[in-house]
Amino acid sequence: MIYEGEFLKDAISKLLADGYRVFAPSRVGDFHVFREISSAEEADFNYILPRNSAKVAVFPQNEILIEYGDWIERVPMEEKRIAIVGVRACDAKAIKLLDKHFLEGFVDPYYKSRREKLLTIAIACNNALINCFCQSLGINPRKPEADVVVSEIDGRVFVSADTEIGKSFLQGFNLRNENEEELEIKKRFESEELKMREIRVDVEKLKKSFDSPYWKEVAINCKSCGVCTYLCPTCFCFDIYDEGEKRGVRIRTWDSCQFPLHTLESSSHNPRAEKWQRLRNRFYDKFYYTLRKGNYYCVGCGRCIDFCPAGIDIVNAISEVR
Amino acid sequence: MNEIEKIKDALKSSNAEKIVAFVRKESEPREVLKVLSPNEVDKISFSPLSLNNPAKLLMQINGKVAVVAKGCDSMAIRQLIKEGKLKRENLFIVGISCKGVVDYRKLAKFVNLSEVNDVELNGNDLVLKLKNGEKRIPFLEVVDENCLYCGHPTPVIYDVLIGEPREGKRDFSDIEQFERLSREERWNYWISQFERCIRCHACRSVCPLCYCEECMVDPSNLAVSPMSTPEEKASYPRILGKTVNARDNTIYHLLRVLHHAGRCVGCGECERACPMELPLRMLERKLEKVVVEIFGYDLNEDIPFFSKLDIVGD
Amino acid sequence: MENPYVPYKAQITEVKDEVKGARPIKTFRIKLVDRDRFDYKSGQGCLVSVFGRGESWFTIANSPTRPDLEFSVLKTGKVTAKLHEMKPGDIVGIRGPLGRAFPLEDWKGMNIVTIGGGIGQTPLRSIYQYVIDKEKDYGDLMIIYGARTSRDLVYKDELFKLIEDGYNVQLSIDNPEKDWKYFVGFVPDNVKRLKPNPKDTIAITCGPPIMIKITLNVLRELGFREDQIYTTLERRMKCGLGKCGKCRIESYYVCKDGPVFNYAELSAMLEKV
Repeated sequence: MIYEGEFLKDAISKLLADGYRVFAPSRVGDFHVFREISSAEEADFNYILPRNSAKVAVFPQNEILIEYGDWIERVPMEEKRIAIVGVRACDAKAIKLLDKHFLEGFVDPYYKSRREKLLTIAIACNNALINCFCQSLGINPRKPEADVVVSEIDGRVFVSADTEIGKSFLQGFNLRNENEEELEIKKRFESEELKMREIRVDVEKLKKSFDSPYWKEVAINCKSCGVCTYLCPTCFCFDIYDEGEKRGVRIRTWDSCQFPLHTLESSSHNPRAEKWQRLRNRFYDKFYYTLRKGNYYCVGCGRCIDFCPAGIDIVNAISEVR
Repeated sequence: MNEIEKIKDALKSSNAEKIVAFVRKESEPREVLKVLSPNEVDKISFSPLSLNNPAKLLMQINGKVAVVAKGCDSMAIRQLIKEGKLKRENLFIVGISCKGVVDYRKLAKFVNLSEVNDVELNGNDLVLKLKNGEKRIPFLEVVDENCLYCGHPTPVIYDVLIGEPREGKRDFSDIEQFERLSREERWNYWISQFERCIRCHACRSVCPLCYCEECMVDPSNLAVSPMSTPEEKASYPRILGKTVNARDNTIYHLLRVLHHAGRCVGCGECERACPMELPLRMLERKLEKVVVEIFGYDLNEDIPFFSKLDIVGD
Repeated sequence: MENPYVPYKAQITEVKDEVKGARPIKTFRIKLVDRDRFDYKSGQGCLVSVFGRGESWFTIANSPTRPDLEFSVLKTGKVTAKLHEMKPGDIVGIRGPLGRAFPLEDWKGMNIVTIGGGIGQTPLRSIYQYVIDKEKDYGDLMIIYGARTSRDLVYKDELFKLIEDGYNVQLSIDNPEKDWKYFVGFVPDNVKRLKPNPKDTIAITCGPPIMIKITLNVLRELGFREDQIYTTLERRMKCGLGKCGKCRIESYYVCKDGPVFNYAELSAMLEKV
C-alpha cells in the first residue's frame, strides 16, 4: 500500500503515543546509531546502515538480572512493548537468528520479555555500502523480513505488513492500495539485485582448513578488541557478574570471544589463549559451528569489515580459506 | 622514481627477515598493515590512505624487521624503544616524511568508495582515480584532523628517509579554546561523548602504548598463572565492570588516558579505531598540554616522563 | 514459567575439610530451603551462587541415591574463596541440575572403572556411589584414584571405608611416603599396572588435563574403544544454559551439551580439547 507522507516519523509518533519504547537510528555528528528515542524528531532516516546493530533493542549491552540484598529482592523484566523502526534487512534477519539462540533450548526470559512484545518496522535498501554482502547469504535487502516493511521508490512510500502484529499496527494509518503501475514498480524493485560484494562459503573446505596456518596469517594484525563482535548483529556472547558485595545487582553485559578474558579459567588455563584461535573461533562460529542451529550466523552487514582497526575482512578470510 | 618504488628499494636493502608494511586492501582503496617476507616486497603500497601505526605489530615479531613508518609511527617506535619494548638493533626503519593521512570516514562522504581505484596527493588536492575519470578534493577537507596538529611529520628515528623533511608544530589552540568553556559546558560535552562509548576497547587495543598484560579496567587478571594464590585472584581490584553508561565509560577513558601522560605519541589510532567516533585525541592532547606546561617535559627527551618524575621526586 | 537465571535458596548444612594447605578443598553439604531436592543424574552440575561474588559451576559430588547435594570446592578464586569462609547455616543459591549426565542407564550390566586424579574425583564419586547403591544393576566396580600426596586425596575416609568393606579401590600417590600401603606413581601408571579388562566395561576418567591425556593412551592400548571412555570437561561458565558462549567448544556448550563427553565425540571435534 501507499502512504502519503513521512511514514517512519508518523509511525514513531504513533508508537510513542501507544506506549512503546522505540529504538530508531538517530544522528550523531556524521553518522547514525540505533538508540532509544523519545520523540520522532530524534530519529533520522538519512542513512544506509547505523553504526551499531538493532540488536540493542532486544539484547541490551547491560541489563540487571537480579537485585539482591541478603537474598533476591527483585527480578526485573521488561514490561513495555518495544519497537524497532528503520531496521535494514540484515539486522532484521539477525533478530530471527538471535531468537533461535535465546528462545530454543532453555528459554531466556529476559530476551523473551522483550521479543514477545516486539514490533519491527524495516526499510528496504536503495543502496549498498562498500562492504555489504547480504545478498550472497540469501538475504534480499529490498525485501526485509519484518512486521512492517517500508520501501521508498521514486518518491513513493510503499508500506506492507506480513504479520498479524504488523497488519494491526497499520490499521491506524491512512493507506491506499497501489495501482497496477505501482505494483509493477514495487515488484521490479524487489527483484533487482544491488551491486555488492559476495562471500563464497565452502563448508567442506572450512572443515579441512581448521588447523591450517592460514588463520595465524589472517589474525597477525588482529588487536583482540571487541569491535567486530559488539557491532555484529548476531553476536550474542555475554558475561554475568555481581556488582555490590552486601547488596547490589547481578548484571549481564555483552562480552566478546575476542577478549582473552572471555574464556580464561581461574586455574589460569585458557582454551583460546592465542588471538588467532579467537579470531578463528569467530569465523567458524559464523559459518560452521552454527550450522548445527541450521544457519550461518552472519547476515552480511559488513560492519566488522568497515570498523576493524586491523583491516581484517571476513569476506576475504572465508572466501579465500586454504 | 616514485614514493612506492623508493620504499621498496629501501626495504630490499634492509636484509630483514620480516617486513611490516602497507598493502592495498582488496575491494577498498585503503591500505592495511601486513607482515611480509622479503620476497613479497612487491606487494607493498603506500598512499594517503596508509592510515595505521605499525608499531604495535612490531612487538609481536622476533628477529630483524624492516618497517615503513610515518612521522607519528616513528614516534611510537622510539617511545617503545625507550620503554624497553622494542630493540633498535632489530629494526630497519624506512621513514616517510608525511604530509598527513586522510580521514577515511570523511572521504566516504565525498565519493562512493567502491568507485575509487587509487588515491594520491597532488599539491593541495587529493586526487581520486575513479573507475570513470578523476575527482579532486581539497586535501584540507578530508585530512585526518589529528594531522593538523602534528608535531613530527618527519620521522624522528629512521634508517632511510623518504621525502623532504617537513616542519612540525606545537599547537594547542583547540584545547585552549575548549578550556575557555565553563566547567559545566565542558562536563556536559564529555558526558555526551562518553555515553556513546560501547567499551569495545578498540582504543586500548590499537594504542601502541597500551601493551600491559594486566589492565586496571579489566575485572580479572590476564597475568594470572598456575601459581597465583586464590587470595590474590579474589582480591584483584575491580575498578569498574563491563557496564556501559556515561559514568563507567568516563572512568574507563580517564584512567586509560592518564597512563599516557608524557607517552602519547599522537598517532591518532585510538580515534581512528573508535566506531563511535569519540574525540579521544582531545583528551590526550589536553594531557600533553599539562605535561608540557606544568611539568616542562618534552616527548623528545631520552628519559621517559614517569622516570623523570621519579628523579625529580628524589 | 521459571526463570533459569534465578537460583533456588539453599543452606549449607555441613562443611568437611578434605584437603588443607595452600590449595584447600572443602566438601559442602547443601539443602534446598523452600523445596525438595530436584531430580538429577550423576555427572550433572549446579551453579552455586554467592551474591556479591558471583556464581561458579560445580559437579554434584554425591549420587542422586543419597540425600541432599554435595559439592567439593577447591579454593581458587573469588567465589570459592568466599565459599571457604562459609559455615553451616549460611545461605547460598543453587541453579541446577545443569548439563548432560553420564548415561548410567545405558551402562546397566556393564563393568565400571573410574579413574580419577585430585579434585577430578568429584564426578566419579557420584558414579561409584550410584553403582554401589544399585549394585545388582552393574558388573564389577573398580575405583582407581590418585593424588600428588596422601594429604591431597579427597574423600579419604569414605575410600578407606570402601576398602575395608571389600570394594576394589586402587589408590596411589606420586611419591613414596612413610606408612603408605598402596601404589606409588602416577595414576596412568597405576591403570597400566591394574590392566582393567575392556570387555563390557566403561571407563570414566577425570583429573588434570595431562593425566587424562596419558590415561586415554593407556586405555586405548588396553583395548578400550573411544566410545567406552568418558570424561567430563571443565570450562569457564557463566549462564549454565548454553547462552553466554563462554564454555563453547565448536557448537557444543559444555554447560548444556556436556560436561560429560565420550572420546568418540571429542575426537570428532575440530577444536581439540
